[in-house]
Amino acid sequence: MTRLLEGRTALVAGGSGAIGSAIAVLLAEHGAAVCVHYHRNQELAQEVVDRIAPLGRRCATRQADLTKAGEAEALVDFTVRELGQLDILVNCAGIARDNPVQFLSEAEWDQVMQVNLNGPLYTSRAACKHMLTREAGTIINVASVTGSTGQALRTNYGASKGALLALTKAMARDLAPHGIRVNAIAPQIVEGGLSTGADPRFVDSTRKMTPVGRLGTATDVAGTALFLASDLSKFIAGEVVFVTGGLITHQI
Amino acid sequence: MKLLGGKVAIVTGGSRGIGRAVARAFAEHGARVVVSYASADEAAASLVEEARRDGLEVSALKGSVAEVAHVKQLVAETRAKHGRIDVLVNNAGITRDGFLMMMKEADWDAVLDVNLKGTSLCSKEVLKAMVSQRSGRIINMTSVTGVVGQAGQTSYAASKGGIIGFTKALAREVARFGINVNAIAPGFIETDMVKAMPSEVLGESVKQVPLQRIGRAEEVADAALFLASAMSSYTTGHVLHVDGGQAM
Amino acid sequence: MDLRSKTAVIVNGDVAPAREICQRLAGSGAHLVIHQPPDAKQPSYAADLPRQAGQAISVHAASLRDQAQVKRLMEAAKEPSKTIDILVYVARPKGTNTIRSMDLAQWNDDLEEDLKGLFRCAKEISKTMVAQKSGRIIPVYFGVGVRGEGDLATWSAVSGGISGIIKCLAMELIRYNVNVNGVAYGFIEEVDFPFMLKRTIKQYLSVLDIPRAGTAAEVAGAVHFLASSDSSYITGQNLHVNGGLLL
Repeated sequence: MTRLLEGRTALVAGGSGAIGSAIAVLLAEHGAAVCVHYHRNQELAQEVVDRIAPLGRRCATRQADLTKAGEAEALVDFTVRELGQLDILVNCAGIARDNPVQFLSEAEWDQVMQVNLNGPLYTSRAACKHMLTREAGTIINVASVTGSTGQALRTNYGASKGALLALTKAMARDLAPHGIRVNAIAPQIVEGGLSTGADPRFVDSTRKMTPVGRLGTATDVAGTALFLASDLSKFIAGEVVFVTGGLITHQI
Repeated sequence: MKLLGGKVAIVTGGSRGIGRAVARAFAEHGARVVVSYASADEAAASLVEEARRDGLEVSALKGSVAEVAHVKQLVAETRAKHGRIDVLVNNAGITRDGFLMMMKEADWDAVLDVNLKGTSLCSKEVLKAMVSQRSGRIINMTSVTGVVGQAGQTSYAASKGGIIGFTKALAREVARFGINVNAIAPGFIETDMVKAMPSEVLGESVKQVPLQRIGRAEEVADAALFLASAMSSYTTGHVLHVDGGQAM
Repeated sequence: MDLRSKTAVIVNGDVAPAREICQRLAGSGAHLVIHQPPDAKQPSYAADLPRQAGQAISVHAASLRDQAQVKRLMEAAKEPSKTIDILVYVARPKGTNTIRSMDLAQWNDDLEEDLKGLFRCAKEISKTMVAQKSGRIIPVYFGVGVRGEGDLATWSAVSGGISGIIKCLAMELIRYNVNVNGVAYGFIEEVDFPFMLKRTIKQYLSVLDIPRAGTAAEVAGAVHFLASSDSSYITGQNLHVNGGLLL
């Protein structure tokens, strides 16, 4: 039985983060060559590559500030040059700057919108130029339940993820006739993710309310990313897969 | 990479169409599969024979999922033969289309019994095994029709919509036992039902699909593989659309 | 007259269906503070709005790109009744673009205008509403983000972002008795949809067995409901006024 991603190449934007690194490693385990993008954490990105290299996969790290369209394009160009092609883009870079809306600063709004929404937009635009020449590819946006069902203290984060979910669908409709599938993943709280440092009472009550009895892990999200990256999901487009342990069962 | 190595699966409505594709895909990925089917003896026999020829383990039992006796027998024989049950795919389903104003009560009942009650009876019966194992996956076949509706299919839509609610409720009930319950909503899939549509109607329908084609039963089976495997460890109570983006 | 002595701020009063919303809220007795961008013409309808003795209706220019101007707008809005009870935020129409064809400067400008603009208004007004322990925030927008349209990429993203804001604000402000709900409209006669000719809209709707486009008055009815005490137990919702378009 062949590996699910034999011969494929993936770019994981935000590949040095908790979720991104788990995705990068799992895609590599299934046969993909992987470019691990990072913005600041070069050492973490290198650690990811150090885990991938022994699998015998081609891999690389690359720095870019994805809030700048030019750097997003350069990142994609680099991936294609270094690794030969681009089949899979996973947009996994995300930040949170939580505050009650009365106290949210312009900078906190801008930073979150730039990284969480503009970053995936610019990178996807650059990636689909390559994917269109081959009429094939898959783009996976790691969003959040917050974009669909909301959360207090996260007006900026919720706006960025709600917009990303809608943009995912618009992109899916536009690119599907060209053989490019675009889908999203909506996780809830992931251990080691952006809610590290959130109010422990909130985290605890979320855990208690989650039917499977635990919070999400990066591996949980990675499993779904693998599915959406592979041909197993060939007839799936514009889908938001909820990875929440049953916490959220209504969609939109 | 065998996604279901060592696992045991039951697939209802497994002799033809989507169910057959699911049974094959599961077996190819290492599962031992027991299929339930209502009437297609030849199809069931050929499924079992082809599997045997390919070194795969698939057996079949005839009966209706709307009948408790058959469901009990299906589950008991699977447990006796294979010792455990890891995955149940509730795929058995029928249609008796027509406008509500003219619908016969017997037709309504038949659709609800096989599609919704059958799903519930089979799920209830396998839970005993899954709860004691503290693990399991239940995958219910709903439909894009259950999500957005279709004229002439009130009974089918009711049964498929009901499956969605059932999926979410059961997911919450059994999550604590390590059992994930999800649904798949296929769109236009290349089955006998769809092949029988007039080509102009099919052509018009395909225009509504962003991927610009109808899907293959194997592609629905692939989604079932995802929901049966470790890849979907943290997804429960979810409706996965396999429809080329039709019901986005 | 169920909104008598309430004050409603209507942001982007120069954009359809703001006029009909103002007519409806004014007709129900509310004081209105109608906002428009600095370069827009005075909405001529302001003078024609129904009003009773003691009912104040005023027009204020402010740029939503400037927090200080938004702040001044909300402060001026407290004049009539010392409270601000209702914020109606009417989103501006966007152009056609796909992810491939979009102009990025335009994208950023559009998001600044409608997402950050809503944020700035919500930020300022929530200070007042939290102190009052009451209020209604009602974004009014084209509901295209729920399903997305390939050639309405920006508009889809803005629509989805507004919905995300509604959900988050609703959860945050619920303890202060401030309800946040959206009116997501479909095809409305008086709204300009630059990407589609009116006759194409009619054809499109008839394929779906929807007999007509909606009217701005029907959108205004939904806004009135969400502004009134009849909806006091509703929050975090989007009321879809689209004749069944999303089905």
